[in-house]
Amino acid sequence: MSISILPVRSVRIWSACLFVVICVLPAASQSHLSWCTQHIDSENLPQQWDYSVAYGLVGNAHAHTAQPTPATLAGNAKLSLNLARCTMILVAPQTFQWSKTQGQPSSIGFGTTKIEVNHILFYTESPFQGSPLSRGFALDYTITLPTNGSKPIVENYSHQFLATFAWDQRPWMSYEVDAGVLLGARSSKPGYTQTGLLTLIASFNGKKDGKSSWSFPIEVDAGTASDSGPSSVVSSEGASYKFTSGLSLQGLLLTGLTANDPKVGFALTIKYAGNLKRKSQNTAPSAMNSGLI
Amino acid sequence: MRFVFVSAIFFVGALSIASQVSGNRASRSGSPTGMRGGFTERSRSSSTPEVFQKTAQLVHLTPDQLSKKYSSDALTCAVTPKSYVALLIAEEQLKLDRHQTLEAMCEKKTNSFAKALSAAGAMRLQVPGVTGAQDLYAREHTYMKEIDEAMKNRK
Repeated sequence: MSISILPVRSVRIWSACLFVVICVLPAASQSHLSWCTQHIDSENLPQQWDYSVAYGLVGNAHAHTAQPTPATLAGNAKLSLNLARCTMILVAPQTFQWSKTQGQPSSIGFGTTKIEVNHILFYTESPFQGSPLSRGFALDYTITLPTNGSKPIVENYSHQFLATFAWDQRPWMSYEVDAGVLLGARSSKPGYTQTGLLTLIASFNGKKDGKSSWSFPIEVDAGTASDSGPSSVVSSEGASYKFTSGLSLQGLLLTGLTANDPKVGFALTIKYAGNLKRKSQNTAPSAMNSGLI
Repeated sequence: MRFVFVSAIFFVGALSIASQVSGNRASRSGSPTGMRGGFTERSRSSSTPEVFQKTAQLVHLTPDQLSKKYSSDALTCAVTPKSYVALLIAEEQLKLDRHQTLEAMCEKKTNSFAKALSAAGAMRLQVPGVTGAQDLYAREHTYMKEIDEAMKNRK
């Protein structure tokens, strides 16, 4: 089949798939990754029944466009549980969403609910001074349930597929690349909106050995244009602090890098992590997995 | 404390459900505003590794002592927990120099003490009772099996 006869949206999806095949998989294979199993020899992976409960507020200002766009404020609850060392499930209801467009009355309502399943396929740790350096390749699926009052037909369920490659460069410095596609809900006609996704993440710990309670995440999220909206690039940067009790706080500044994105925003999150079968997690985080909540 | 926090989260959620009015479009990927996957969502485990709890008796230590010893040796070179226990057994049985071996493991970027010592050359293979690299690999394999057995037995 010639690529010229493929619809434009399909080309985007194929591009995302090609990115995974060309960039991520060879990187994974060269990293001597092994299958991630329940009994994997690891210092850094979470334990079975590790969980976290989080609540965050996210606010966004108007975009740069000439057309009026809404300012929004949302409250996101998140509950995650490691069913196994390599498998995590996360439920995230948006408990409220407030929006206000200039010249119009504001509105408030319950948002959508997301259910995410994340499985680490390949994983390895190589020795290093202070803490072993981790590398892993994971697959991630998220379904969005229309708990915001939309009519529950099949196309109202969004599906997101991501491939993720993450690695520690040093105990205090870690990176992650996510690529995938969002099949978005569409109410006006059958089928899904198709958005290619690319995310780059860097996280820096406050100490060279990666044991500081402070970490500083930076993230850039990019999405291709689809019939649900134009292309989007949003950066976020901030800091998080982890208390010895298992509680952590995070503050992020969001910046839209295209005219269609909100000019500026913020995200504040409080999170508690523990294990259902043991006492709470009680030491400082390390670079790789302490980043964004 | 944990109960109070969880209750508070669900109380806020319940209040919001009660006030639901209009719909909104599903937000796309991106951690601050929507959903994100991958490793950064996970919290790195920070409790005593399960391996230490189940294999400490193999090296005649308590899990806490083993964990502290690991943390101290991690300054020289942090290997995976199972590899570390295998190294401690080797130290006891083969009279290896633990710090020198750990340095070799970091230098060669391997969790296998047999591979590190073999790659480091013949000088380091002069271990009492060990005839060569193959023997060293065989012994490491035996120690790993002992560790696996200990982990099964302690379930």
